[in-house]
Amino acid sequence: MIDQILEGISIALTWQAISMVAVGIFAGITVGAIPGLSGVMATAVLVPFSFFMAPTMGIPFLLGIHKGSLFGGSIPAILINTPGTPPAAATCLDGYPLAQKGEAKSAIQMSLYSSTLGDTFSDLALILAAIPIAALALKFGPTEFFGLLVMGLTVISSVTGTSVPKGVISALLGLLIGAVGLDAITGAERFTFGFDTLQGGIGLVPLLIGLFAISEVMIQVEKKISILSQKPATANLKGGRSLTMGEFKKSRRTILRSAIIGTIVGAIPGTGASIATFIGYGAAKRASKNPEEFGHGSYEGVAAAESANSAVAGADLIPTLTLGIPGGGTAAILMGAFIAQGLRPGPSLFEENGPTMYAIFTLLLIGNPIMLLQGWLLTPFFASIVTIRQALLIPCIILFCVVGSYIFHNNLGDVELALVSGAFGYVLRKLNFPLAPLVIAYIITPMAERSFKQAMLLSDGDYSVFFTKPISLFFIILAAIILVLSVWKQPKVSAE
Amino acid sequence: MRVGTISISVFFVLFSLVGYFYIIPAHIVTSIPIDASTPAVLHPDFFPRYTVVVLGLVSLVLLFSAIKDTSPEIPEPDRASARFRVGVVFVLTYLFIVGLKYFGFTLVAPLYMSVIIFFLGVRDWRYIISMALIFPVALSYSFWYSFSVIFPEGEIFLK
Repeated sequence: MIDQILEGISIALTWQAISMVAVGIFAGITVGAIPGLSGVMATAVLVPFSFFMAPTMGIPFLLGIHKGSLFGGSIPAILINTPGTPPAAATCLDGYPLAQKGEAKSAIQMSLYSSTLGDTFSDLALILAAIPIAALALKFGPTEFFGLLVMGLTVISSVTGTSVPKGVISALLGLLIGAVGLDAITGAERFTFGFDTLQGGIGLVPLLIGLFAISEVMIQVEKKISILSQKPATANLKGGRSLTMGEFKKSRRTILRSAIIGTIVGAIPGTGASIATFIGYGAAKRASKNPEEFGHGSYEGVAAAESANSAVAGADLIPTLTLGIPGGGTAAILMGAFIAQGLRPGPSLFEENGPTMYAIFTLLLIGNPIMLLQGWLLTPFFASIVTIRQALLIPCIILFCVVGSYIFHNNLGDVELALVSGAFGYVLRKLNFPLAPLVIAYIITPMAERSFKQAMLLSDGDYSVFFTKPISLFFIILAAIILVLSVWKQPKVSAE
Repeated sequence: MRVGTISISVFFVLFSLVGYFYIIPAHIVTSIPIDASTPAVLHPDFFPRYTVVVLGLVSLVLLFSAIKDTSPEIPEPDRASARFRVGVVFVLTYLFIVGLKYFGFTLVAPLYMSVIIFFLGVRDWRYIISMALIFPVALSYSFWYSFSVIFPEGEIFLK
């Protein structure tokens, strides 16, 4: 194992790999800084570009986008009171009042430090937790693995979004889309409707780009023409003071607390950074000596929100890499990228691709000081992006979507598929259907089906095998409890 | 939202029925006779069939909960014009994709970009022309240079 770790570190410490992380972080902060564009969308659009790189460059590039966008989202939250990404919503509460007092620069610096520390904490948690969990999951047979997938999918469908039935329907649609193509065991054609191109299934890249990027662009297009075509008014960075060591020291405990909260929340499939940030913010307010300052320009408030949402970046990879169950939308896209690169997330990932995974972990850690450096040096540039006119940006993003769908197979059919997925995703989003369960179900369908069929073969067609093996039974009971609790709690949550 | 939820629930219920009784029997093509499959060797329609059944049931739950929901609808301001903009951008993007096939990226992308930028309210031709020309050319060149990818050149010009 030590040999594999050293090999991984040597793969990671090349200028090409490090520069790809840096490029990813730069792209992530840039996208995060543009209001309305999320890290999920950026990751979906840029996934195909990673296929032209080795896994040890392509995957860290995408992880860099994920990291960078979580910090980048705080910049417009502080400057124009509009979160660049949904997880930065809590940052507006204290970041914008600070900017109004002329302290935008120090607020962004607090956001940068807390994001970097939260992210580093979560990366370390991932590295320490991944291998033991994967080793435990390796002991699972197909029966236990199917139970685990059912439990994972149930959690994601129940927790994501505002309505349990909508989450479940989204997951079921994902299962149906995942069934398109040749059946893995019998080789039968399913839902190909006579099109040869569908024999390989619905392409992952066009589906991701359509659901996450094109649909999001269309949501932006809904804004009024006056908003799309004008520059937003912004607070000025110039003349602001830097963050003092005293202000940072006062927030140390808050940062650590939020990092722990973000890591725990991030590791639970279906939760994500938006939930973590508000839990972290609420906990910081309750524990603070000056809770009355929260909401009126508290550095602790900025630190709490940013540390918590960035701590999700590494933690949501824990279930993705070790169990093959993506924790959310970005994790699902990253899982797709892993699969396309020939790395199959799940218990055997570390056994089969040890050095590559250690290289990726090393680059994850290297990415944090790079983000700090970029934040220090390029904040004025990122702040200037906040005011870009969306009318100029939207066609550029659509062009990226078209190119991204095209280049994977050099096929215009994939671009059409992305557009259709975009229309489908737009309708689902307008009706408040969460998209993450759909994509996650689509990705895990082959694994779930294979595990189920293997379990059936091994038990000679005895369905009770899922209820007689203790681990499988545990997962199924847990799934049922989560589903019942979600349905029971839902009216109260909706009312709130 | 409530009307939308009711409509989509009805759509999914109908889709489940069509899926169960028509799409699955007609579009899952296998050489294994249905009576030859055993519980140990599952037929390829096993998963889709159960998924469609559950989809129908959950859609019914959603339908009834939407009908029972009496909370007031929150009106969306400017809904018709917002939907019109989305529709136009979809149609223009579809035409762009069709245009790519026949006229190629170099010709169609600048045209598409300038139309969209104009449609979204920018009237300064310096912005429109510079963005519409520089971005597609830079994108095309960088892909060719970095990944050796050539964007569609257009069937008309290839003949």
